[in-house]
Amino acid sequence: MNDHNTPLASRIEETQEMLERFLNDCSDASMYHFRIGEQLSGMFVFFSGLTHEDRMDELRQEMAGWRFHPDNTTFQQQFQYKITGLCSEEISTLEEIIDHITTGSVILLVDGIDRGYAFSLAEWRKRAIEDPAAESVIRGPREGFTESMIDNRAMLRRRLRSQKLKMKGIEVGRITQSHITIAYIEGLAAPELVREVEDRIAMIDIDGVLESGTIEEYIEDQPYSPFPQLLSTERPDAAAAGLLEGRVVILTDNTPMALIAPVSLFSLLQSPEDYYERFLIATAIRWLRYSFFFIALLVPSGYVALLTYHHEMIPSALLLSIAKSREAIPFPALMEAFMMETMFEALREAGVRLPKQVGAAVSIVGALVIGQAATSAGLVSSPMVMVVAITGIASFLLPHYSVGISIRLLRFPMMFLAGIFGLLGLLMGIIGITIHLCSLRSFGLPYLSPMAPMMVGEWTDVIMRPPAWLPRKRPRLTNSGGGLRNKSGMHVSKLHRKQE
Amino acid sequence: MLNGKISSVQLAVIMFQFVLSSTVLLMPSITTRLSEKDMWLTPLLGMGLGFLVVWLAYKLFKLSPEGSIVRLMESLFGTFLGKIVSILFILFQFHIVAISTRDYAEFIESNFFLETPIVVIIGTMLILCGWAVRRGFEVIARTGQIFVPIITLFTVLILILLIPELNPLHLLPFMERGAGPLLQGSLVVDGWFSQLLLAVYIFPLVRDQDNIRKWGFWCVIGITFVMLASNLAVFMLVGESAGYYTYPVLMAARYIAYAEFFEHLEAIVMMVWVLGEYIKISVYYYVITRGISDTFRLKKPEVIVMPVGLLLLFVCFWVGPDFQTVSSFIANTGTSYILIGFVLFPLLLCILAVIRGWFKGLGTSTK
Repeated sequence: MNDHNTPLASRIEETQEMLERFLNDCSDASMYHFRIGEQLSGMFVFFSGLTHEDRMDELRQEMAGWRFHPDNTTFQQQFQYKITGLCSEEISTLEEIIDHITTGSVILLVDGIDRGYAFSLAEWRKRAIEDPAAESVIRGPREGFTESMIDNRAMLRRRLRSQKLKMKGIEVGRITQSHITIAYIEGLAAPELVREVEDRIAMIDIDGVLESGTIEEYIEDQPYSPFPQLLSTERPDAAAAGLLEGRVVILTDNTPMALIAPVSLFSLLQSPEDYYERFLIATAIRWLRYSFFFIALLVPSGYVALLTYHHEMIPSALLLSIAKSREAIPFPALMEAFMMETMFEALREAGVRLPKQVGAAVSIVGALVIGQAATSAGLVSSPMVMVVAITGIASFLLPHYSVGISIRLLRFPMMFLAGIFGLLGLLMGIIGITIHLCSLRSFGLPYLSPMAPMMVGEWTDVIMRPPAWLPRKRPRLTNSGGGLRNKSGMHVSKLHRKQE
Repeated sequence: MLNGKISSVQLAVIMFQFVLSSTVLLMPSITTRLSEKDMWLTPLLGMGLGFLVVWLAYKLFKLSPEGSIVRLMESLFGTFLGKIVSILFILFQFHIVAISTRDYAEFIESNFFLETPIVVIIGTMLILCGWAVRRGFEVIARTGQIFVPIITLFTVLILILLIPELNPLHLLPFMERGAGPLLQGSLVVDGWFSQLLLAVYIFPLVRDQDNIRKWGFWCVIGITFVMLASNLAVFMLVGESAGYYTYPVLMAARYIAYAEFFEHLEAIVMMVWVLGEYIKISVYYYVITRGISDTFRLKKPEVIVMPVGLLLLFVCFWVGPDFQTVSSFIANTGTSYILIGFVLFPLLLCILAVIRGWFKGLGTSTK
C-alpha cells in the first residue's frame, strides 16, 4: 500500500516526529522510550493489543542490562553487533515500520542509528478452537477453523504432514491487506487450476476483504447464478479431504470459512461425515439427501400444480380429504403456498438473527403461525402446513447451507410457474434449471459432472459412498496425477486370509 | 456458441432422443393404420435406413471441406448457388421442426391445457430451447445426458407396468396381407430415422471422430429397440384399434392402475413428451442456427438465435390452419417429403461429391 519510501532519521526525536505525523489520531499506537545500557536510548513502536507485551518487557529488561565499553568502536556499532540474531528483520523506511506494526511486530528504534529492528511478537486475543457451529457431525473431528490464519494453516498441516502440501500467500484489499492462503497438494491439484485460482485472486482490486464471501463473489465463474460455485466450510477435515481430491483450498484471514474449488453439485451434497460412517448407512443417507433435494425444490410447486390444474391425477380418496380441508380456505393454492413459504422463510431468518433469549418466543409464535392455529383460523389448509414443513425440513437436510438456501430461493419462481402453467410450468422450470446447471462451471469443472458430461468411472462416489478399500481413481477433472487413491482393492480381512 | 466440444457418446445419446421424442407417442397409431397386425415389425425394417443415414451423414462429413456441409454445397454448386441450396435446405428443416413443435403443442393443449393459448405453449418451449442454443451444443448435449436416462426409464416403466394387460394373441395372424402394408408402414418409420442426417451439422463438434460410426450404429439399434417395445406393447394392449387413437401410449398409460393409488400416469407421459421435445426442438434449432451462420459466415452466431426463434414461432402457425391438416400431412405426404429432403437430397450431394472427386483424381493423375 505504501508506495513512497521515507528513510528513517538517525536522531530518534526526528523519527518519532515523523512517526507521529504518520500515526496521528491512531490512539492505539504506542511509543515506549527506554534506555539500552547506560549510553543509548531506544524506543519501541507497536500497536497495543497486537503484541505480546510481556515478552517485549523481557526484551527491554535484557537490553537495559547491556554494557557498552568505550573502545575504538562506537556504542552504536557495539549495539548492532549484539542485536543481530535477536531481531527478525532490519528495516530502513517509515513505511516498512507501518507494515510491520500492523501485523503485530514491535519495532525498536535506537538513537544514532537510522534503521529499525523488527521483532515478531504478534500475539492477540483470539477465539479458542471450537466445535464448528454450522457443520456439526456425530462422528468425526470436533475442531473447526478459527479466525486466525496461523492456526488454520497449522490445522491443515497437522492433517497433511507432507512437504507436498503447498500454501501460497497473497495479500488482497487496498486497506485491509488481508492475508489469503492458497493451499493445494503438489502432484494432485492440476497446475493450471492452481494458477487460475492465483490469477483470479490476484486480480481482485478492492478496498477491503472482511470475509471469504467477498473472495468467492469475485472469483466464481458465473456471478448471476443462484448456485454456489465454491464450497465454504469451517471444518479442517473437509478442507483436507478436498485437498486430497486435488482441489484447492483458499483460507482467508479473520474468518473461519475456508473456500474449496472446484466443486460440483454432487460434492456440495456430500458431508464429510459420510466418509466416517459405515458405508452402507452413508450410502442410504446420500440417497435420502438426493431425494430431499428434489423434495425441497418441487413439493410446494407440485402441490400447487396438482391442486390448480390436475385434480384427476390425485387419487380420489386423497383428493377428497384435501378438498375437505380446503373447503373453507379463501385463497387459491398458489396464494396459500406463497404466503406460507414466505412466512416460513421469515421465521427462519428471524430465528437465525435473533439473540438466543428471544429465540424461544420466535419458535412459539412460529408454531402458531405455521401450525394448528393457522389451520383452525381457516386461513390455510392442513395439507399446506404439511407441505411447508416437509419442504423446510428437506432444505435443512442438505449438508451445506449455501445449497439449501439456493434451493429455497428457486422454490418461489417454481411455485409461480406451477401456478401459471401447472405441470407444464413445473417441467419448464426443471428444464430451465437443468440448462443453467449444465452451462455452469466451477473453475473449469462442469457443475453436474460426473453425470453430465458422463464419466461412468466416477459414479461410484455419487451413487454410493464407496467403501474405503474399494479401488478408487483420483477424480479426473481436478487432478494431474491420475492413479489410484488407495493401494489394494481388497479388504484387509481378505488380504489377511490370503497370507494365511 | 460454436466451440464447445462433445464426445461421440453424447452425440449418440442426443440423437437417440432426437428421433424417439415424438415417435413413441405418434408412431404406434400411424403404423397400425398402414400395416395393421404387422406394425410391430416396421421398426426392424426401418432400422436399415437408419444405418444408411448414419453412414451417409458420416460420408458427407468426410467429403466436406472443413467438415461443414454448407462448404460442400458451395464447392459443388458454386458459392452463390451453393448458398441458395443451403438456405433451401435450412428452410426445409424449418418446416419439419415447425411441424414437430406444432405437434407437441397440440398434444399438450388437447390433453392437458384445453384453454391455454397454443402460442404460450410453443413460446415457452422456444424460449427454453433458444436459451440452450445460445449456451452451445455442449450444454444441449449435457442436458440430454440428464434427461435421456429419465425419459427412457419412465418409458420403460410404463411399458413394464402394462405387461399384465397385454395379450400377445392380438399379433396373430402374422403377415396376413403380405409384405405390401408392412413396407408401407416401415416407410413412415424411415421418415423418423431419416432425421438422423442432421447430425452432419454437429459432427465437427465431436472430439473423438473415429467413434462416430460405432456410436451412431448403436444409437440406431437403441432407437429400434424402444420403437419395437412401444409398438409391441400398444398393439398387444388394444389390437387394431390402436389406429383410431392419436396418442395410443397416453391411452395405454391411463390403463395403468395399481393398488388404487398408483394410477393416472398421464403426468409421466407428459413429462416424457415435454423433455423429449425439448431435446428435439433444441437440436433442430441449433442446427438451423449453425446452418445460417455457416452459410453467411457469421462471426457471432448468438445474434441470430432470437430472430430464428421468432421465425420458428410464426412458422409453427403457417404450417397449417388446424391440427387435422398437420396430422394428415404427417401421415400421408409428409413421409415422402421428409425422405426426399433428408435422404434423396443428401444422397445426391454425396454422389455428386464422389463423382467430382473421381474427376479431380483423374485430373491430378494426368498432370
